[in-house]
Amino acid sequence: MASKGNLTLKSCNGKEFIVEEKVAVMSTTIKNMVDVDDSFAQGVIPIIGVDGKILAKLIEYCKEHAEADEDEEVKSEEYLKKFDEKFVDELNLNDLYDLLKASNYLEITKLLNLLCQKVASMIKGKKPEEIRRIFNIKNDFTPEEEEEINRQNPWAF
Amino acid sequence: MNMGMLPEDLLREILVRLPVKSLLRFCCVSKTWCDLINSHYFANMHLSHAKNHRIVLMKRFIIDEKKALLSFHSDYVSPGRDVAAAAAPDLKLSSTYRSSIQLFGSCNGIVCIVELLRCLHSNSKDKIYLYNLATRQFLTLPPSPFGCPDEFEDISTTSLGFGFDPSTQDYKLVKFVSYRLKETMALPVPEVQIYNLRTNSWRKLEGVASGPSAIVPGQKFPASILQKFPVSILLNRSFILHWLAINNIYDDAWEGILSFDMCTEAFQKIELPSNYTYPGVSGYNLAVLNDCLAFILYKSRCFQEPSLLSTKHSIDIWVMMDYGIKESWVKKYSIHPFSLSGLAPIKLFTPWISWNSDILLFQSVKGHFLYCSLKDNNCQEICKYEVSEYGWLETLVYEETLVSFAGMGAAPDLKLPSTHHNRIQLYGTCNGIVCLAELVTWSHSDSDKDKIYLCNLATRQFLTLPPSPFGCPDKFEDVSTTSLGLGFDPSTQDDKLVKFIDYNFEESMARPVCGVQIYNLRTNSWRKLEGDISGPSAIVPNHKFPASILLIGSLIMHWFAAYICDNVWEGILSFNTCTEAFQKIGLPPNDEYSGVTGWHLAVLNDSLVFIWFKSRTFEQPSIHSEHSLDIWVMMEYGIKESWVKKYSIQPFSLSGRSPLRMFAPWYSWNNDILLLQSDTGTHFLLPQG
Repeated sequence: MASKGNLTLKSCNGKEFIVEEKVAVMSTTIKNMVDVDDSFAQGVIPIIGVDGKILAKLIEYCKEHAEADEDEEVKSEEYLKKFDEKFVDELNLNDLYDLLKASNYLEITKLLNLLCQKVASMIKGKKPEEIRRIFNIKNDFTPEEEEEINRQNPWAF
Repeated sequence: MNMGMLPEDLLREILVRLPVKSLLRFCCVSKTWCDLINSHYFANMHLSHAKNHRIVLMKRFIIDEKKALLSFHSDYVSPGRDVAAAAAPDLKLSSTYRSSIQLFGSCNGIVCIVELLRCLHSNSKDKIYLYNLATRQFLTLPPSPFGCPDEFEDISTTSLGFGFDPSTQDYKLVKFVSYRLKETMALPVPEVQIYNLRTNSWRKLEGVASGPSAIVPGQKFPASILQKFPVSILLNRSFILHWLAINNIYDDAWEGILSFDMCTEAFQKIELPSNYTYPGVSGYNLAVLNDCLAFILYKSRCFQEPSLLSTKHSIDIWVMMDYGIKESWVKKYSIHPFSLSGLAPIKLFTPWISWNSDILLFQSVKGHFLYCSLKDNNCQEICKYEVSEYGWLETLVYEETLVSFAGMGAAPDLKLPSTHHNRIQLYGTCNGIVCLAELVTWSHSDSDKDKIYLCNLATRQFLTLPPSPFGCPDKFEDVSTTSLGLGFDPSTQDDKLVKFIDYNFEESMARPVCGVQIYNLRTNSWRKLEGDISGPSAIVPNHKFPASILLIGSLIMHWFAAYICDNVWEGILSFNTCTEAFQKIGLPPNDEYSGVTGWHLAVLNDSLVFIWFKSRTFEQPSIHSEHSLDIWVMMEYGIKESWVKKYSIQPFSLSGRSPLRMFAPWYSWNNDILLLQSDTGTHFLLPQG
């Protein structure tokens, strides 16, 4: 049972995290749940489809940013920038993918933007066939159509 | 790495953060990706992240066999790195000794390049190009149709500004022109012209002679624009251009900032800080810093040191904290004195660009490229470029975007084969489909057929109709198509095209025989409309294309028509696309219409309107024509007695002679505004009343 001002978040594999409310409501989804139904604020909030490992990561991120929002003196913009860089650099690809989906579901906009930017910088230099592999996309162009499209912007390759 | 099951909205969020080059390469990933990347929607989303794709663009200018070579380089913004990567291939533009090719700013990734001609005596025009370097899309603007008026001897373009109007989602170019009398002391007369990308056309901005707009090339107060191209601010969802302007003629000399709102098209004066000027100031400039106007002053001095010549410079930067409030100017930064090699450049430091909230970039015309850090008030030379004596170094900050001119609503030009005696003309629109046709007249041979095209400009879908299989019957000698009408039949959900044909006997006075053919889009086939040729369908439309009304679930086309057989009749011919029946509708009474020179049919507020007009040409004082219009509205459809003369437009004049074919066709733009044109190319907006 969380004390006042704290919320309990439960991952899909049963792990419980007690976090300060200001940290948890960095997620718009959780904020809406708490605002609409008071029982969530008292009981346990199930975070569907997010396992303990990813949830811990999310909480780590939200904690830093919630504290920075509260007190700019302690955690400057520059500090946060460094934290963000380190945060995404330490992620392995599977975690990056899982975090991306989780922060989308939980609507943690700042983190979502950070992760999207990370994926964008990872893929910007890739070849089209690598992109298809990464995003599991079937090439539905005929070879002639593909050649025609590539001819339009030859300098892009 | 596998991102296989990523939801579509997440994927979009990732893609909008990619640079243009990557996106163009990823067009071939799949059809879905290709459609997404090429969509207007995605381009707009990408634009909101454009700040991530900022580069500094360097323009250098090389004269090579009378061609000006523009080279564009992106540059890294930190001292000591001068590797300039090519941002786009060199551009070759023809240039003459009397012109100069210059950059006039960029907006949403589109760079405005202008070959500016000064003091034109002839009809030669400025050449203006828009270029999206990231997508390599290039557009040559049509020249402004406004030449030098007869009473003046030359014309020059003093400045240009390029920007975006968020309210209409359109790009606009504002051009300052002044007309002069040669070899007199008379002051130049100013004019402001505006180009809209969406309509691809030029117009004059009225009211320049008075108000703040008179400050820059003002009618009474000619002013020189110190700043070559404007600095722009996006303010309250409006895009505002700013020039440093000066008016030093007459007693009311004024020096300050002139602003132009791209949305309202209004000019405003903004005051500079009080007592800003002090001894030794050798120049100033305007920039935008953190969305605030910044006014930059610099002092330059030349030193002859033992062995080499050097110049020393110091800079003060004023910032207008509250937009438009003179009292809010604050001298925020004083940059430590710094030196440059060589003589003080003639035109030092122009233009200034703010790279981010802490860094300003600027350049000298001598090729110095400098970096000014506002954090520690330091200024430093990044590098010095070779510059030719014909065209100096120009830089601007440019954001790579997917913005496309084609996505602006204006469709690309269509090239259709046309011979000199068969002209391609527009034959109306229906539900967004435009009917274009090249009609045959007096055709003897069966191989001569009308060429009819349907085209949806928004989707760029284009259809060439099969030629009508019906040739000229044996007893006739030639055939002409007199009119076409495109309409939609709601009962069958089909588009239909009605075609009026005249069969003629050559070298006889016998009247032509009329025929009507109908094309159905659904079956893609032609058929003849049978019926009594003496009935209403024998009435020949006298009108190029019909005015259509949707009436009780039927689309009805209307032509102004005349019956030229024994019983002369003049009136409105209607064709119901649903029942395929013709009807005659009587005209309003025309007793009072002596001197009428023309008439026209239009639709206004779902009612038929009939317009009479009278035109006269005058030779004095200069050639002009005067026109008056009466607009009759048929209040109850089909009831002749319900015609009411609802509007009488006050007489107005036009330059030039009364046009041959005045005001055809008419369009009602909304309930209050009719658009009309003359065939001499003059366009009017005519508010009712």
